[in-house]
Amino acid sequence: MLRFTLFLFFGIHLNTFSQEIDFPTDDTGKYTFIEVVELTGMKKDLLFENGKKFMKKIKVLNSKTGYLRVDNENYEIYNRGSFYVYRIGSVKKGIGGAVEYDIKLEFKDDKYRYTIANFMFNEYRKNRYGKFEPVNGKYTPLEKEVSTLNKKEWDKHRAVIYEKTRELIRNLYGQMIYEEEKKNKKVKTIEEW
Amino acid sequence: MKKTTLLILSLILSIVFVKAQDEENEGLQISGSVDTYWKYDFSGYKDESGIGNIPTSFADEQNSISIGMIDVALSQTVGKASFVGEFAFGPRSFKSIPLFQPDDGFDDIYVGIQNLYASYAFTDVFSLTAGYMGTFVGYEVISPAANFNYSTSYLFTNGPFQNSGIKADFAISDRLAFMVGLFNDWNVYQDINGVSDFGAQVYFMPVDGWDVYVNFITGDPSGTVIDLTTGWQITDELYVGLNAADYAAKGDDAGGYTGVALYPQYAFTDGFSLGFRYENFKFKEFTNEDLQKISSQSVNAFTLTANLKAGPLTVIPEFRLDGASDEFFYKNSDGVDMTKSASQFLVAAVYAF
Repeated sequence: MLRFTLFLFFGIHLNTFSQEIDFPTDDTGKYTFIEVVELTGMKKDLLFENGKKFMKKIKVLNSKTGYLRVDNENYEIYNRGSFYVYRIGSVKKGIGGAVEYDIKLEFKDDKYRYTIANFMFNEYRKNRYGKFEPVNGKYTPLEKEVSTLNKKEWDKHRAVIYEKTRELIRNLYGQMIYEEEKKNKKVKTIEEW
Repeated sequence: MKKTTLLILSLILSIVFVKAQDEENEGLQISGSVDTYWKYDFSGYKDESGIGNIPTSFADEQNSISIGMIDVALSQTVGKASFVGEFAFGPRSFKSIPLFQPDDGFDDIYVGIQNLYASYAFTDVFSLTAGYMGTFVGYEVISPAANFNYSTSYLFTNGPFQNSGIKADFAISDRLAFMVGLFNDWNVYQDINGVSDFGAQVYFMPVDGWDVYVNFITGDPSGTVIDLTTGWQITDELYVGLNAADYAAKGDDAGGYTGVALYPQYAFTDGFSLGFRYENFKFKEFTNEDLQKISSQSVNAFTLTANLKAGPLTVIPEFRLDGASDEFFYKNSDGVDMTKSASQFLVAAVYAF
């Protein structure tokens, strides 16, 4: 737990402004964030409920399609979400695209496991009405190397996604323990105090 | 100690990190583009204003390092309300927007507004938008940052540029949407004869990556346009777009146009794409002011365009050859002899921010 706490406090700002990000990868080289988080004393049913609440907030931006799947038998939840990335050098954020990702949560007593992977960049372009919208059907894996001319912006997108994914992981953790604290918190009556 | 740490941590996390992921951007966004170009018409012809042979919109100044426009769009979404205000200055903008005509005796004024509208999303499905908007008809747009080719098609040049009005959008799903609206005449800030055009659009997505728009606008004196605009990202590298339209004009001179344009594009790398545009365009027969019937004229236009991208900058070399059914173009710089074909080369730079 202490290690995780340190990760939370010191990991937050690591690499924030770094352009070369060392993403965790799976055996095939795909960017994958995977970790087992231990929460001693928490039952899987409660973790599962907390996980559902969290996963309901995940969505692909600018899309009406829902990807949430809940496997009640195996205590697993799947969803797909996305983060905005912004154009380099904008005075004020101009959307450059969105990076979609798959997220999977699995639960057991005293622990949960998250897997966040399959990061795909979907370019946004300004439409005829002056608004940015996704280019339908054009997805680029975040692992893909780009030409030197476009590397700076691509690396910046990667850095942003790295940080946002870390934040997502922290938010997930916050949801899990927050509900436990709330549940244990008894409302005292006037007479009791 | 452990429990205390956990408690403090949980409080911090619950207060600071309540959101699960990105919210929709609610800040004021600033975006836009600047563009500049050099064009050479191989006939050497230019008129008194320095304009070359091919009569489509923009990129028309012969053998000159010329400017397009600076385009700045402000937009914001707060909750269910949003606005866009887009203004532009430069020849490309002035050639694509109406003049504001004050009624107090002053000269006409360039206002430079490309988009100015407000929207409210009553539900996830239904939203209402009112104001001055880029047209929903057609494939190509005014902003050079949103087109692959730098020169424009005849379909674009002869169709509407903007439609002021009020419209209702119904986004049923990611794959199906409708729009209906009441509009001013084309390309005006103010409609003197009242709101007299009706427009509608159906959008559907047959498969992932394939957008299909069927557009319709009709009114008096504007006339009627039926338009199909579609684009299919077949693979990560290969994209094909298509625009087909028919316009029937109103009034004694009648006429109109019909045309089709095909836009295959291939991305060899993230920084280099090659695209081709083939267009067949035909002006319909019409009666001129002297009551003479003017027979229809057609043109086939072939455009080969490359896009070289370096971050926000796109360099666009482009070769274009137009062949007409009649002697439609000037053969050489003397501006006397006519010919059926014209060709040009241009290089443009577009920076989008």
